[in-house]
Amino acid sequence: MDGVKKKYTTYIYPNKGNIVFNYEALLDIKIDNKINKYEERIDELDKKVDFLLSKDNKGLLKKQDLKEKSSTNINIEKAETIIDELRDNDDIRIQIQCTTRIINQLDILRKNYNIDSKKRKMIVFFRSVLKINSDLEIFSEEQLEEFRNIMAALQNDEMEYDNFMVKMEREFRRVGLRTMVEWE
Amino acid sequence: MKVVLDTTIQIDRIFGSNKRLKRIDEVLRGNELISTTYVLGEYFYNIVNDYVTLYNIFLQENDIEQTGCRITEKVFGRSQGRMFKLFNNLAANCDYDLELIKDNLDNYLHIIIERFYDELVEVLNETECNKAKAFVTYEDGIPKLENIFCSKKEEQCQICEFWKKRKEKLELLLENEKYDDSLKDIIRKSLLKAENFKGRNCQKLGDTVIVSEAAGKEEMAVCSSNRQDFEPICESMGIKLISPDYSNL
Repeated sequence: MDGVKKKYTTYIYPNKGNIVFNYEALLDIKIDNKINKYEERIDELDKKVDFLLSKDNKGLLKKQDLKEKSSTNINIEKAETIIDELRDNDDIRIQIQCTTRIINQLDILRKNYNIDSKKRKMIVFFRSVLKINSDLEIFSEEQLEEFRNIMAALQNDEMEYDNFMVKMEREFRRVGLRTMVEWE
Repeated sequence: MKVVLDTTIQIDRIFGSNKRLKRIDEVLRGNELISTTYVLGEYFYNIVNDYVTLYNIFLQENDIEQTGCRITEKVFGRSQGRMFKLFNNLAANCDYDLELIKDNLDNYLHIIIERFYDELVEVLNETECNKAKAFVTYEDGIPKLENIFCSKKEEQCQICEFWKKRKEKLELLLENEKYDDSLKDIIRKSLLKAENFKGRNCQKLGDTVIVSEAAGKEEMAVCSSNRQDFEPICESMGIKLISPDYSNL
């Protein structure tokens, strides 16, 4: 009788007790062993997943959270450094290059799960305003200061969210920035 | 001087090109800016309505090309040009990223309603236009414009009372040869039956309503980019018309 396939993993060999193997049977045992190893590995991974989902992993998650948070700060700091590079700049080409780098940092930030939905909205809007204005005129010191304020707000955990989008838009216009794409 | 901004100027102040904005600023500088609830109603009915519709089309399609196709095939007139230009510019601004486009559409929605009031010192409310009370709500994340309809049968506004007080002004318009004949017909019919001032006829008489709101008040002018339609009305009502020069733009 040939070996009967049992689920995907085990086989029954008629002469196994008498240690009578043919080549085919040996091959089956080899496959069987490999499958067992994979099953053990899956068990290990399952245990790890269970641990991550359990209450005992708070410390670990906190660590992960801090890691994400510090990466958020790194992106904000990078963006701030680029904004500082724009001080005293009078070349629109340099401005376009710097803006691209700021937008890149903002894109990383908006995909970071540590950023809440309101801050994400801010980032999206700021990104849009930067892109609209980057090749219009050289950013004034007042405008750069406004950009720094936005970056500071993104770092502020106790930011006031009441009507923040309208306030932000108003501030941008106050310093002479165009806030929306043309429509008419 | 106080200047009543009509819908065309309000739209250009919010969405116009920088060149247009500069021209508007040139004619408005130094004046006190006011608008009316009637203009706000028109703004909701045209601009906010177009915007929410565009947002909905995008949410349905979730695709840049398909949204463009829907605008081209299903939306007509001024709305089509408006939506198409806005969507094109917005998509480019968002690097054609669907998620970013959606987020920006949502951001703009909050802004465009607030922008109407920007720099205004007063909003006149003699018509008590019902459409000015429109508002946007969300249903499961989908925006919808509410309270944007006006009924001819129901008492929703004061437009009939408004015209009752200005009967003489309307008679002056009927004598003006430059004033549109189809509008004269509406006025004649409405003078016989006040209910005819409401609904679609109210929309058609929009420019006349706006100028009439300013008429009779001291040191008041009207600002519109639609000089052709506004000139005969302003002439009849003795109101100064200010128009930004958009030529060579």
